[in-house]
Amino acid sequence: MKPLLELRRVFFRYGKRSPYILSGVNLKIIRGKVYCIVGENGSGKTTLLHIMAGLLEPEKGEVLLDGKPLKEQLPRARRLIGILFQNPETMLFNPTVYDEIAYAPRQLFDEGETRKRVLESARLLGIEDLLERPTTSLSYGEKKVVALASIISYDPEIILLDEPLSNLHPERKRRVLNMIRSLAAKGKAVVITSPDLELLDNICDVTLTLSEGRLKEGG
Amino acid sequence: MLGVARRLAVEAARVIEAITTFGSLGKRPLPLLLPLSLTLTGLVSLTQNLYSWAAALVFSLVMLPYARPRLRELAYLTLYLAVFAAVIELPVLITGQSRVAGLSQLYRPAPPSSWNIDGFLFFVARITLAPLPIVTLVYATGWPRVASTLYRIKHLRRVAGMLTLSLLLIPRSLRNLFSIVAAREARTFEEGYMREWKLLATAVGDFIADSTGYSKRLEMAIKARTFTEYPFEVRE
Repeated sequence: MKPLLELRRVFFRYGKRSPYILSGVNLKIIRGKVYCIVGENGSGKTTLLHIMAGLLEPEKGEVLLDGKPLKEQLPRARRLIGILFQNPETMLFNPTVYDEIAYAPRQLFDEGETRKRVLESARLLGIEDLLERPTTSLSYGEKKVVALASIISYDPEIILLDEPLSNLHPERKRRVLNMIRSLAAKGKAVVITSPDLELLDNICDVTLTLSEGRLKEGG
Repeated sequence: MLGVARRLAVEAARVIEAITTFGSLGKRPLPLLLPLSLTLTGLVSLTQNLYSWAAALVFSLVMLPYARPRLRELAYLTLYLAVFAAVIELPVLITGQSRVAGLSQLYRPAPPSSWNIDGFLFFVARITLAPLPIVTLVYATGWPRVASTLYRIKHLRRVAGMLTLSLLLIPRSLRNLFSIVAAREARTFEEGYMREWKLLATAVGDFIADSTGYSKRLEMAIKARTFTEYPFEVRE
């Protein structure tokens, strides 16, 4: 099957004199699969997701979306890729939860469709009661779920989740895991990072370990 | 010195954070009240008509009950405005040479007197009163509701987005600066003004580094969900 997103021998480092965080990473992302990337703190998981989202550019190597260089397709291609940041605090920049979830759909659809999508995303994650709240008043866990809703509301094809389950209480964790399963069932490609494979509750189709800048199969 | 600076920064952060939560006035009357408050602010800024001054005052007083949980912050904000206006106008009070009463009066000299008290009071009252209608309205309803209303108007969405970002970032930055200072303070055993000066001066570097990191992450977050060249751009 043709990969939706492909990384070919990707090298990355922060600054010319720093050591490589990623050295020759190869990865193919296929529709309908859940990829779990595990690795210690500082191993480069977040950097890898940022490169896959087109937010960082690799020093060497290629990132291809649908067979074409991702860089050449930006910023429009971003609607195909959704990324949840590890720290949701930096992801929320709109006045209310409703506006936060509506931020991306408003660029693509009219207000009626936007509203429908916001309500549907909120229902899926059980945050309907938060919609009118200011984003500044939310707890850490609530911010994380709102950030997730703000991604699924525009229905991207590739969903990159940076430690989505950390600091969530069990009920929210269960909802997020169910959502990931249903996204994969709908043919979306989901990439999840986690410091620990056990947290991911058997949802992974492909497990990869990032260590010393290289990606290896298996947990 | 450090104590005063910290107090000022914490109060400023509190004043801004109070705006970013909801007030007791709902969203429904905003399409009417928002233009009205802006008109009153404009009138007080640009004219010397006492009726418009009175209208601005009445409007603000009507809004006050809705802003009740944040009256303290509103009072601080008004006080800051009055103090800053007084500081700016101080030379006029002493020299008595000119009266800067507003844009329309900018170049018209007032009758010379040894102490231009009326000119001084006029200026301070104008600076303090002019923003009150819009400020009390924002406190009464909360910035998120105002911004949400503005978001529905295509051409104002960008401005509302930028203002929202500022309101989120300013209190965060102020609090962050003093948490950096506090971390240094806990491990500094000198005494006196020199120590405070050193603490503040050396914390600035960390503050800039931290703020740069935060703004980069925020920029990435905005980019990640923006499908056009500019954030807050609206689909035509």
